[in-house]
Amino acid sequence: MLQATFAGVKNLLIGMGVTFRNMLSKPVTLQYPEVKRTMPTRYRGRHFLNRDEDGLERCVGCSLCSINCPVGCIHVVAAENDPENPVSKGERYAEVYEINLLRCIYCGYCEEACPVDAVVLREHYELADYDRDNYIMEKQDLLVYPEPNEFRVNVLGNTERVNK
Amino acid sequence: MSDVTLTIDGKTVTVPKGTKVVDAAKQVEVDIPVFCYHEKIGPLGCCRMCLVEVEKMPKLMTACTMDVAPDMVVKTVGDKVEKAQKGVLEFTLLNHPLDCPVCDKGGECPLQDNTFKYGPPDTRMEFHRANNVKAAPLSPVITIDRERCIACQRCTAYSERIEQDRGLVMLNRGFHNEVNTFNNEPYDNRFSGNVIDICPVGALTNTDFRFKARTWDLENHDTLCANCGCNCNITLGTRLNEFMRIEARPNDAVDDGWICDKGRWGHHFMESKNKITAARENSVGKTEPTSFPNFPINAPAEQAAEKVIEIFKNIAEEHGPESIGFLGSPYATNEEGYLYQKLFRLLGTNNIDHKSYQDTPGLPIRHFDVEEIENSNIVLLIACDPTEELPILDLRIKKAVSRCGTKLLSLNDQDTALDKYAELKVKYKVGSEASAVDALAEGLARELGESIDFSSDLGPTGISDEDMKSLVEAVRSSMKICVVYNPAALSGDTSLRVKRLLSVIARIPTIECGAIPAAPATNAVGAVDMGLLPDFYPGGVPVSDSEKVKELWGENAPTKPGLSASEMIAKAKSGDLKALWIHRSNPVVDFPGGEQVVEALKNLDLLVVHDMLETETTQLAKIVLPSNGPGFDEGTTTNIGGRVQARRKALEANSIDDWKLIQVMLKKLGDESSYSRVAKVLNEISQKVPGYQEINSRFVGKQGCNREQVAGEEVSPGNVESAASSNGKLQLRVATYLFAHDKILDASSKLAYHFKPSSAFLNESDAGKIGVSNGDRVSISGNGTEMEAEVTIDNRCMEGGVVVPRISDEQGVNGLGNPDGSPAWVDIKKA
Repeated sequence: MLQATFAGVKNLLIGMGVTFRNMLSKPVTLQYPEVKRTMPTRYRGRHFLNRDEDGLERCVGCSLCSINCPVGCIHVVAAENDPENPVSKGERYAEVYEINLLRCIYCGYCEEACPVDAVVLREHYELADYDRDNYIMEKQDLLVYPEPNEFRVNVLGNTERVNK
Repeated sequence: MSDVTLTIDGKTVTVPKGTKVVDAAKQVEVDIPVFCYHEKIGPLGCCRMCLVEVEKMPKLMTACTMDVAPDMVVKTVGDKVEKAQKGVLEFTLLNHPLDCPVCDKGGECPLQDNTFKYGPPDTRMEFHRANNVKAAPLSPVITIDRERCIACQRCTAYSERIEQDRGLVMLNRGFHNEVNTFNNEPYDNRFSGNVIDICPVGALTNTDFRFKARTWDLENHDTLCANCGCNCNITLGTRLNEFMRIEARPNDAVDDGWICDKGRWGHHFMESKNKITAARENSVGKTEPTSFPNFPINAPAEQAAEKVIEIFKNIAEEHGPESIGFLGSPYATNEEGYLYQKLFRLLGTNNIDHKSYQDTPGLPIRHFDVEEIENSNIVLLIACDPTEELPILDLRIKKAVSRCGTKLLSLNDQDTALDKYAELKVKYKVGSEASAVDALAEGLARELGESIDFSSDLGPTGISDEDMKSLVEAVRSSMKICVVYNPAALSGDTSLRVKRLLSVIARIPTIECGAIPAAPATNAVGAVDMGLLPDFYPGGVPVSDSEKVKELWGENAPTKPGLSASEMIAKAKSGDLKALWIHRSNPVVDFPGGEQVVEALKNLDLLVVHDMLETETTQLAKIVLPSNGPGFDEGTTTNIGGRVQARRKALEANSIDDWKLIQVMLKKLGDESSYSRVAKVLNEISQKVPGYQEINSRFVGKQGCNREQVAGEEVSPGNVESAASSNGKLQLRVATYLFAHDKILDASSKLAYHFKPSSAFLNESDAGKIGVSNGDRVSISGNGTEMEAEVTIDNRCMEGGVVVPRISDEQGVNGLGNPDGSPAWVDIKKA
């Protein structure tokens, strides 16, 4: 009986030990939406289109993202650049670039296929909306960043943030 | 030719002597990579991509230049070959820019494919790639990217050997070697677009298609070009129901793998702003007896058509079936033509026609396929200018003359571009084709010792006796002759005389003979076969053969010969014809008569025009119905060689298909046949049209198939009327110009740079008599119409004639012609 009591107390202490340990450690939950989680750099969230150093669009409208997309959620219509007033470097640019975020499975194949590192999936995960139409991301949505464009593509082909 | 057996990669193959190793390898599915070699152009040995190892030969050989030899052992794999392939590709790619994502060829590029399959993984090049001009226009429709060019010389070889124009050449040497034209002139002949298809890299690109879509985004539809009677096979690329581009789809029996520029860039009429999209009522003309109290405005076309056909029926009942008429289209499909003639014969009339010239179905000799031109040792052109009328026929004749040993004879009233390939050129005076054709027939009959019931007179033709003699001799001594004649360019009943000539040729022993009736309209042969004629039912069954007509078409089928198109217009003018239905035809501009046609059409109680584009005729119509036209319609067409091919739907139209619309009207008239698909119409054609028994949609397939010869009743032509005295007037020859500014090529067309000003080609002596010199403006008048033109003195025709190319619809040159189709006299005065 005594033995059983010991075992009970011991198990209780082990259990409470976990509780006390977690009481002192940093909590995993965040006070969302007041506090936002920082996602890992390679997290695949919402798409953006990059610009290059000169502020021109990187996208040349090659449609490789759209042909690689397993769900077919990207629509690209290309057009010829006006050499006087180019939209992108190179001869063509994407006149229309649309991504259907509802259909997208966030696999990141588009990012991988992109030969000019134009389309990237970034850490933005807050995609809830009341209107389905808002999920069709057009060019103006994709080129506008929530913060100043401070990104570059590193040697591995990943987009990383430039910390100033 | 004897066969040769050789071994390629351990596989034994037997091919005819003279075959290149690279072609022999294709037969046993061994892939030898090439850039410069093209089976239609021939060997070049320029790119060195096709190096193979041949046993007992010390070095690697180029498979594209090497003829097969007996017991040859070829190896296309192995270290030696692979090293060579890698080396050649690395070298080719040294200065090739890596802009595949931007390049229009990306996805269908042989350089990409070959590099992927045979190329080195890396380059040893340490320096910057050479930069060159990125997008230079070679012509308004072709752009060249000099960086991408790998100097394989396929395009220049094409230019030299196929179109035989040397439009494109290699300029400069070594590192500065480039594809260009002499003196930087634009590269703008009739076949320039083919270099886009054959370029193995993205150097020569289609300016119209530039960056419009990636190749893998296109939906490719195998269909037919609708711009001339050659019916070349094309691939029409669309994206999201929008027209993108046209490429050639090789079919040896039709186009030999090439299409002309009009075929490639002349299809923008599909998205023209002049397209008729809905049925409408024009408030013109007489409205009283047949006015529509409640025309269904904004209703679908089928509702309007139902109403209109009812009114046609009423008119036929009130004034007799002779008071209505139908003008069909030589541009429509066989199915549409067939259903329309069925519809109007159901109304009890034979007033059905589709053309302004005379022609009858059937030929007294074999109807040759276009391919037979290569096997013939004589090709005789009668009043035919293939370069302008049927461009791909022109390429075929050039090929036959330069590579197959064919001799070209020409009997024409004007000089043509093909004349320089002709062995013998006999030119007759404009308007005297009847005598010229008869003289040839008589000469041949004399040689044969046959008795004939006609005589001819060389006098009015201006042909010398020796010329005619040598022409007769050349025809008689041929082994296989192909006569190519253009019924649309022959005045009066000359096409019947040509048929008489053909039957004389058929009587020459030891000669294989055939003919190609080469009218330029897309489906001219099909329209004749489908019985869009006043005196013939489909398949050349004459209306007079009442027994057969009744057997095929029922007891009530009309057996009285109807009115031809020109007669219908004359009757409309006199008021005997009350109602006329016009399908995809523009008689106001295309028929001779001009103002007289307009007056006649205005005089009708009811004019219905079923067309795809707004024309001068739709302006006069009371009712306009929408037709979809090429790109949107489906069915079959018969080309000049009698080959039936399928024209497939490439784009979805908003309004109902033509054949469905006609079916609605047939149902309204109580016809019981119902067609669920257009193929069912073809099934009925194969049952009811003699000559088309073997034709069904499965058999037609992708390559098409030849119809049986359509029988024709020989109609004997009348006597040649002695020409009226000229009185200082000249005989008019309306020539065809391929890039005429009409409804198909409108002002916004990519080919608008080809448009020409109106000109008149005069003989020196006539020009002297009239007192005009090169470049003068003259006014040409005849038949109550007048037009202006610029004089060119170049002896294109003989004395007493004038050649006026039809360069636009506004020019109105057809208005100078006689409505009955006889040779027209015109007055030329200095303006």
